[in-house]
Amino acid sequence: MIKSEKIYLYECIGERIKELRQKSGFSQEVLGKKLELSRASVVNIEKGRQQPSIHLIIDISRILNVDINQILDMEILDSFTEKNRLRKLEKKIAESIGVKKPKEIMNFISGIKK
Amino acid sequence: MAIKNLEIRASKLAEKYSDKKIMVDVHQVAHHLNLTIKEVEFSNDISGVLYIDKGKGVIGYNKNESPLRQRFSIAHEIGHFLLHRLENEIFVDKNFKALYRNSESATGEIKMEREANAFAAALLMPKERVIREFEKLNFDLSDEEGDVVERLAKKFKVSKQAMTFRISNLELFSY
Repeated sequence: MIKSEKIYLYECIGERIKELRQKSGFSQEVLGKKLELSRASVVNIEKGRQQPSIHLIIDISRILNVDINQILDMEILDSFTEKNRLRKLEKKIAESIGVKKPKEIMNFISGIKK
Repeated sequence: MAIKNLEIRASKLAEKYSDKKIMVDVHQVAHHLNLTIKEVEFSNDISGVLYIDKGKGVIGYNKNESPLRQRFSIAHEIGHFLLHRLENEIFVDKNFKALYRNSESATGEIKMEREANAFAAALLMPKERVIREFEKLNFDLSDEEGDVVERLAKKFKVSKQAMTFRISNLELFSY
């Protein structure tokens, strides 16, 4: 995986954890306590800024009482990733690359995929 | 990659894919690297784009620019692919006017742009070949400096500006 793919993946894992946490009715605070982490750490994991280790993901799945496969459901992660990736790509083209019409580049990219 | 390795790598590619041992066929080099090339109707501040999807690269170049500039853009994107494909999935290369307007780019990106330019120069104007042709010309005629640059630029199918930079980097006039 290249750098950006890794970043997107962890963001998606974070989103997935957030979804499952909310479904299970836990607050970030409570989940943090059970994991012996601060609420800020939970926020960072859900935002993808902190990359959870495998054992931490296992702990999370046990606390939320879900199968670990639900957190790491590759089909869901892939679809999240693709959506996030394109959204971010467009933002990056506009901001860091400084292109006035990012749509032009996005059209070029989507033209390739066809 | 250090500049020296970059020169060696570029000249090896040039050696293999050249027309009459002078002009490098950038399309063939790209093909050899499994890169797809597309002509695109970009607006006038974009010269070239490299997009990498799961390891596979596609180069788009601006259809409305001069053939010399297009060759340089393709060579530049090949440079990004060889040197920086793990760093980024998209490289957008704006022409110089646009580049100076947007001075906010991160230093890392400026470094990558510089490296891609160095690679493009080394690919289109391989060091040994430029020196050889330069000496031939200097031997054949007692031209003005400007004329030598112009003749070399034509031979290598690059802009006069690109050849001027290359010759000054190789320090040929100070022999």
